[in-house]
Amino acid sequence: MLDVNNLRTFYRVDEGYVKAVDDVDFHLDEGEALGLAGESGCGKTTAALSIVRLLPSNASIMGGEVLYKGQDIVKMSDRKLRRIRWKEISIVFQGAMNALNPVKRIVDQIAEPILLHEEVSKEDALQRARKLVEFVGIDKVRAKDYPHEFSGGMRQRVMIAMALACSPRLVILDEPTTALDVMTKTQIQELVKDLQKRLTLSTILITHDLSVIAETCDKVAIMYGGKLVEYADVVSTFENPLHPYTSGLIRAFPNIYGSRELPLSIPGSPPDLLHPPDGCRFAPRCSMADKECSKPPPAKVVNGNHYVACWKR
Amino acid sequence: MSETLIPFRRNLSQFWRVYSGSKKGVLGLILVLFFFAIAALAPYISPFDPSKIDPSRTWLPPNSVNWLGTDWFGHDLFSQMIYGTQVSLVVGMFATLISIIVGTAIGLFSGYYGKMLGEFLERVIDFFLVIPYLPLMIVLVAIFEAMETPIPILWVVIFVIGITGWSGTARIIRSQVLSVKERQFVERARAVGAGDFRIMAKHILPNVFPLVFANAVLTVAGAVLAEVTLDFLGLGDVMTISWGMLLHFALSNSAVYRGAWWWIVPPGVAIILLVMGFTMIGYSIEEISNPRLRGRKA
Amino acid sequence: MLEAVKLLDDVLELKDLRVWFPVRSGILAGLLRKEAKFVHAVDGISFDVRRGEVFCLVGESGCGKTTTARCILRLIDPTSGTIKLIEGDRTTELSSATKPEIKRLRPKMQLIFQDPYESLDPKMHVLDQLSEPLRVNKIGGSRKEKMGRILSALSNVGLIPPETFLYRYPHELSGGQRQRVGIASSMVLDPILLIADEPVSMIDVSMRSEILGIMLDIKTKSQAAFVLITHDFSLAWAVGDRIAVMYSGRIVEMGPAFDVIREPRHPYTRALVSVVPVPDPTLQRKRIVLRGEVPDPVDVPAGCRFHPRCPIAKERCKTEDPEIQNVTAEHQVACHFWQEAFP
Repeated sequence: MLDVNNLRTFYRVDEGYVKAVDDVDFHLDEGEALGLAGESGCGKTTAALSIVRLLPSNASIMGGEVLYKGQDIVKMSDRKLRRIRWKEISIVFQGAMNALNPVKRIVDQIAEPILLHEEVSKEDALQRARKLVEFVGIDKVRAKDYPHEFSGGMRQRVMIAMALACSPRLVILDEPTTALDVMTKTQIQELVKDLQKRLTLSTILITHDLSVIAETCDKVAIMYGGKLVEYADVVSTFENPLHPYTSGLIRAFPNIYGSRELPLSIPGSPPDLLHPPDGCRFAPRCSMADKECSKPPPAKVVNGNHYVACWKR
Repeated sequence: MSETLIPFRRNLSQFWRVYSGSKKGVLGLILVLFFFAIAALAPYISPFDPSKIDPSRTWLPPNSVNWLGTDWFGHDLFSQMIYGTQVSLVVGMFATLISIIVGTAIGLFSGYYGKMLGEFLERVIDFFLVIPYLPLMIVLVAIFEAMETPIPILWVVIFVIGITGWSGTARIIRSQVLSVKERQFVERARAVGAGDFRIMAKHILPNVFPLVFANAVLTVAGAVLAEVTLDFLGLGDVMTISWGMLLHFALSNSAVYRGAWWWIVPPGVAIILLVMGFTMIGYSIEEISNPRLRGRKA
Repeated sequence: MLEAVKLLDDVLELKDLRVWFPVRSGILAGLLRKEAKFVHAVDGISFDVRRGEVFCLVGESGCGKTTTARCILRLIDPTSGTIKLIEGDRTTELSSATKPEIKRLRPKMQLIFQDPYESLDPKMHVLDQLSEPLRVNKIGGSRKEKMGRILSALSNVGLIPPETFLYRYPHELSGGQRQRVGIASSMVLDPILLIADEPVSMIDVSMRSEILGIMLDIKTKSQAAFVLITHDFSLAWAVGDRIAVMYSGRIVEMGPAFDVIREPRHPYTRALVSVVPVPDPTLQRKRIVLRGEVPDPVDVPAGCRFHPRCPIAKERCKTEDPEIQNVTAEHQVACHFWQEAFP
């Protein structure tokens, strides 16, 4: 359904280009849940925004293709793109739950995308909005409330309802549960899983939290320094992480069912994407790195269905 | 996460780089520097002594000797215009200095202290904000002049403009202080044991300063206008040559009726240009200091 | 209960701490209002913290843990209850202490902030940041001695060589480095009590351990007591010695970290532990997902505060506030039916 090939998205700044997404590919089938993992600055949000071409003015897709049902979004005309946005692919932005319009009722805000993208009457749109409110687990009577009367968890449900307003096939969620308490996090996770099943929805979940990906996604793509370092189904990745960054990252999350010890950290800090190193971008922090890794980015090695970009595997 | 106020004193070169990209900022700077140059070089570039009277050459339009003509007394207007620059700038800057000091102090205290003191000061600021500044200035100057104090009137004018113009600054500073004092590093300072005065002086003021600077430049524009207005009304120092005084004498000697445009237009245009210059600089700095005023920066 | 076994190396003792904030309302409500309404941010908590231990205060947002932290440091005033700070043989009652007493004790109890970007003054370089605590509290003697303290504090947090960091500004440092500077500025005062409010939640996962390691290091070397405030059970699991779980202003369960997490007794704790995210896709467990949200701290439910969401709530829970009961000598729980199994 979604094929991202050799995607390159750079930001233009005074000093040059920030290579936020540098040659990334992944693939999503119908009904699949893909997790795009990585820490701050690795390019995951940029990659997701590139899919719907909702990039800020100083960013541009420099190369590659984003094939949605065979059509390349990168080369699409604006008119065609508008038909895809929200109706086929929608997105829940990071922190969006805090950006709700404080002077508009919830139901009106959910109805807004419907009115914008489809030719329906206001009454119909509001009707559908009310149904969506219930659909995401909010009591129908609260639909006419204002955002400030809702808790964080409820507002996030509203954002999900908005994303579902035009019945898309693919929903991108950028850090949907990061700012929420663990119980609310779980509630939202369950909601998304439930919606996926009921609607045969495909989802791309962007997060730095590997635990959340472990629990909710089918596949995972790990990004580091703008590059894709590992890509496989979730079970294989966690049981047998091939890339040193992946195993380092997994070990960085303490496991309450494991032993009681300080999780391991990865020394150093992420690369400067303005002037990234020539060879493997993780090499400066990698315990297995050697002379080999300073050469231009390592060849992609595919291990069955388990892709990894590393000299050492 | 990002800072809205650029650390000013260290990043002067970085600041200049951004500032020089702003067309109106550079234009404003050129205008202001132009007038500063004239004021500084007045004794050297003025063809005549501005107070020199030549009774044989009165009411002359611009000619080869008097480039801007002469007034009813025979003064060379070009020289008067040049020397007038000094007064505008001096009064403008000094009055602004008073405004800024008073305004920042009151704004700082009012913003930092809540409850009684803060609220009281806020009312004071509001009070001064809504009072029409022109009648207030007129009344104050008149009182001073009636008291026949030995203080030179020019200082009275500076003082009056200063203490009627502080409220704008105070309000801006106050609202900025209100938000800065909630920031975590202020809480840290408190947790470490810093007292109120130290927090205000070392933490809040430096983080509020860039806004003070932008506001100060705009206040100078207002102060120059205020000075011109007072002079024009005849409330300023009649003995001092200033653009406002030129206009005052022009109109009180029926320059319009006599068609002596050269007595009115040059001071008017000069005032406009100088005030515009300061305003452009002020807005430029404001835009740079407050990224929200700029276009969307991803 | 534990009184007889009172440990001599307590650093902090809280008893029945209550922090209530008056609810502000408009004039109409003020004219019509019969009785004052309060936000029961903290509603009667007691615990002790010992030297050299990491005591975790765990709970979701709004449970009162942050308010408790700030109250201990007297950045907020308690409404009732006692807070005792014990330095060796000298005990000070913080809740009723005078301003000069609090000022004297400030250096002994320090706060580590959550946000490395916001908790440093953007206009001050590292040296200023670290000398301020010394200057304000008149500690450290001569300039040379002060510098010695500062350099060693920077080294202890891993900013090596310390001299190279002295004149850097916050915007020139990474998040992890800023957090270290923050910790250093607290440590430069040699505190006996450190309260860390979500110290790593805003730092990249791969770098959290380093910061945590520094904190544990400090704990071992200086034997300072740590109160770690977090919503993250995994964090408490990794570094905590004892845990207290807070809900709606009260402590519902308290005990050694291992016991509370592996054998939780309070229904709330059991639910929370069952949903803590774990990086293992093959893990099978029964997740107890609670319905609803944390209660409004103004209108607290009668009886047990948790009863509206509790999977095993019974009639008694709606009217009777549970008392604290012992599971073991070290493990307490506040629930009527903690011995019952879950459905």
